[in-house]
Amino acid sequence: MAYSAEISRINPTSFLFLIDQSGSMSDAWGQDQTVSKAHSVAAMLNHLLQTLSIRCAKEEGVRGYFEIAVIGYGATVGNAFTGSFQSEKFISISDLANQPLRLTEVEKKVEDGAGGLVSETVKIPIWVEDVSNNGTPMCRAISMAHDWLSEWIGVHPNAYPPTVLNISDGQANDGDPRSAAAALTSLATSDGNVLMYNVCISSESGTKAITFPDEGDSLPDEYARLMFEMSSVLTPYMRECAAGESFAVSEASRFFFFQADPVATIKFLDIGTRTANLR
Amino acid sequence: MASHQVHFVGLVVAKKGNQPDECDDHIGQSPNTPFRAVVADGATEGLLNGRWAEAIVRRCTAESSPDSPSSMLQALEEARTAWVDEVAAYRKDRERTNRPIQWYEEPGLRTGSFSTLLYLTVDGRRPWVLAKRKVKRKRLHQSQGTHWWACAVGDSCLFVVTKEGKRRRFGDHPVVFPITASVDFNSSPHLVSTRVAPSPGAVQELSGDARTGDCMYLMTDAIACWTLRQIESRETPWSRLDEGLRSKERFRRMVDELREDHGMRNDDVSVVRVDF
Repeated sequence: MAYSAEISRINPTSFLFLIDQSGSMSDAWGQDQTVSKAHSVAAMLNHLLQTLSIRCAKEEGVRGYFEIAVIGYGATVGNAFTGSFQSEKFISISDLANQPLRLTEVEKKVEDGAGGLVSETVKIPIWVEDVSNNGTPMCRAISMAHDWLSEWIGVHPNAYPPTVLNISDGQANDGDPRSAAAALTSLATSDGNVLMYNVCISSESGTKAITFPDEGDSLPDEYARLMFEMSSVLTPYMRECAAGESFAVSEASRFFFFQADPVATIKFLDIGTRTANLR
Repeated sequence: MASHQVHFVGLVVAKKGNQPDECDDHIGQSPNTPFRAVVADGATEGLLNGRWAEAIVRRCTAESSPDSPSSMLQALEEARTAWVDEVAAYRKDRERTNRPIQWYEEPGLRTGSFSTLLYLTVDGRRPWVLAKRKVKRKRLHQSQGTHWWACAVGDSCLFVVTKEGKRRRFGDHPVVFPITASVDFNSSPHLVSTRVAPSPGAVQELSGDARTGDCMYLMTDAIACWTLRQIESRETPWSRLDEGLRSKERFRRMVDELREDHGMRNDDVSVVRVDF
């Protein structure tokens, strides 16, 4: 059965994030319109990497269940990690956890164990900074993801298939990305094809996200239909996760969020990176 | 000593690919009166879950033995209180050995540790019959014999196999507790936490009377699921399990075979057999 491979330290899976870093990502986003899309997306990604690190933490350290790559696309297309990880494509969650770019400290209310809350200084790791410049070379970014994943699958032929999560706020301006996406999702391990999930974040506040659509005809425009076509159908486990979060899903639902606000984008990342079969 | 004869055999094997000290399952027994057997399965994700499972086993086999839902809740409360000191000692030891707690460990230590619990006590007395109705109660009516009481939080399972049922090759459906169908196993069972008391609905109990020749198996989820699937297919898993329980090596070999050829999930595996 596809998408059932065990995820372990000797057989990790990978997540590859494609992050739009075009100029329009500097626009304000969300209800209060005080924070840019680029800043919010970087913060969400950092939070997600923090969550994955915590999920893999055991007494002896962080177990390397996941290998992570982040490709940014805007003025340039390339590795969005900076510092010591810039020269590597996929980085083990174990290495990421032990070497964040920096740790910031924030005061946070945490449970005191007796039903109350206490203020505590909590360390927040940062790996990715916000960037927003130039156009949206999504085709080049997807092609780069294809090259990186071909290499990764060569080393991990029996892994749980890699997941690509693409976060963008606009149309590609370097061509039609569908053929690049089809090539990307034709890559496969013995456990199934590469999964590609897309979220198109909204430029307008107050818009309602379209989530997990199961057909393209009723989507509002050609661009939405294009992104729908690029997105993978949910695996049974993902369907279960999405239904568990009260999303309406069918067997034809694809992993695509359109006109997503910050809350929907966080859910997109959360559900998209859930895994069963961790050992 | 108990007037009845009870014999315990139990083995544990870690997930394939993990070191034995990374196993989060723990088993234990107290051969003194009243006889007790315990299985606890620490959660896969999170910190110190194996240690918490071990602490639960230790408490449940300590001198004062739970024999009712309320005394089990009290025992778990005592284990939680002792756990605060255990975590403090762990933190101190990490500092002393120059391995301070890292940022990614703090949330797990704050959230606490989690484990299932399956507990069996065997005694001729019946002090639990009038126990508080704080927990979901099930009673099993059998003929008079050696009385036993079991209590569970989560998906570690008890199989009650009669002497006659064990002899039969096909068709016998033993009493299974608390999960009764293989499809009901999932990745989010109820768990005993170091932070809060189990909700009353999470604690289940079962009691009955056993006769000479009967036996009970206590198992953690992966092998319990396989066993239930066997029973549902009208197969009898007992001789295979008994053969595996003859030695550590045979047990490891049996678990490897079940994983490779019979679709058993790769998980820590514990089996305890109690013979009457």
